[in-house]
Amino acid sequence: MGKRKPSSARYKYPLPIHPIELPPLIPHNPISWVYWTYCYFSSVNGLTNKIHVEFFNDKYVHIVVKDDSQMNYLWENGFFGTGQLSRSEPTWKNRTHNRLADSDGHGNALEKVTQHRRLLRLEFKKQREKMEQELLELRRKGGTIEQEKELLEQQRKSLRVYKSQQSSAEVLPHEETIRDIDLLLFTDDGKIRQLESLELMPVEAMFLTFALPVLDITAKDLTRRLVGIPEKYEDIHQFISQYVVYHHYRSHGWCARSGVKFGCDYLLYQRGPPLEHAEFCVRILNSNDIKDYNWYSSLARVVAGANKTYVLCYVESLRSPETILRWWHQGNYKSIFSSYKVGEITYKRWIPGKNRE
Amino acid sequence: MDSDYTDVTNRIGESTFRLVWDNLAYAQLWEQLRTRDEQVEWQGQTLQIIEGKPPHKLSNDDDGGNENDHGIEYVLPIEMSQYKAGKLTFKCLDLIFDQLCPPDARRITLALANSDGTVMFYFVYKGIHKPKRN
Repeated sequence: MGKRKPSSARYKYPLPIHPIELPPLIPHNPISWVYWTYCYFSSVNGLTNKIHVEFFNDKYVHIVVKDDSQMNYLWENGFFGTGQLSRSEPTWKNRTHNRLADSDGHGNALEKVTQHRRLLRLEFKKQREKMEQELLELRRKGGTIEQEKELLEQQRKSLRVYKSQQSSAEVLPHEETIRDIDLLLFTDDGKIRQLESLELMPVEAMFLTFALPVLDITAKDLTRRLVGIPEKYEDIHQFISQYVVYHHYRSHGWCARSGVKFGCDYLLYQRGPPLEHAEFCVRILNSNDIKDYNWYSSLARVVAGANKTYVLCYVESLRSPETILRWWHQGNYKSIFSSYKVGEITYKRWIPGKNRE
Repeated sequence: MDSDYTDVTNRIGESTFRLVWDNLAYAQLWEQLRTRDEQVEWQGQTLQIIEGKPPHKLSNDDDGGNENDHGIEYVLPIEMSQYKAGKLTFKCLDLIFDQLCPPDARRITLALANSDGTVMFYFVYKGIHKPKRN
């Protein structure tokens, strides 16, 4: 958010629970020993205030965090959740503040940069279209090949100049005006209301309760809100396999986020979304799933178009559905999640003429 | 300016409809937002359209061609999970175009609210449409 911290400091920790840092031990100094031992036994790394979550919509549950500092904490420590009015980090309030309060446009939020680039691209396309019209006009008039070539050369040149001018142009802070509906955003004392919440995916919420003690609910309460009291294994199968895969990648140090925009289940980042692009798109399958070839290739083309590697992640259950369901009712999630095996395959289109490494 | 949702004292989250509304009004900065009066019942859900004007054209092949092009777009908020369950059938879309939109609407925009906190937007055109140029 507005703070100008280097990202290495801001995103120092990969998870919301941090390792305990003990003071250096100086072996020949007895006081150091005492102090070290004291720290060893007294240090705790649990959160003093667990993060409060709320639920809305009974049929399809949304899990949200509303406190500003808690939203920020979850984002900075492992990139959990998505701001409902932002691309990912909950920056809405800051953006709105920039838009309405100080219009000098300090701190270009990601959204603003993207918007600006899109506008530039749109202008460029309009130019290109105009030139195509010129060419068509020439053809209609029956211009010779030479004339056409000349025109094309001219156009290419002017487009190049146009593009370089565009890229050297500064990001202009838009002259935004306050609209009528914006007035509703202000409180009586002239501050901007926070409209945005941080939404957690069900698996993220489960990870932050079951695997790490971060949220202020129990795993049992959470699953009850998500699936109620399941009568058959099919009711919980999807959630379990999604969670098992999520936990699998998180515990291997990956930052896993929703892949819904690419038609897959998760995106994997080495560290996190502000620091690099996701490398992998993960699609979850049951170990015995068979799909037709179109299914694989259509997704593979989408993923390859976004320059990512497509990972098929197979989940296999080692226990009977009855056992899993019984454990679920007992709240024995540890046994449940450890009775699944995960294996993955990467799938890539290979073109003999091109890919010749 | 028309705006039916004058109460912003509550945080978004009570409904998908509200989430999409706030997204259009305060994140995408649409103007002239209004909930259309027409409602349609479809498999136990009430469908209703939000209309409004985006700050710039949504697709770069929107220019020209259409003389009654007033820049108004029609947005249908919908739960992603609803979509998964196959509720949005061809028949349903027909119903939406016939009963929820004005007759000159060329397309609707689906606003899919997903459980990961994002709203995705997709165009649905009436009939065959020339592919968009990138």
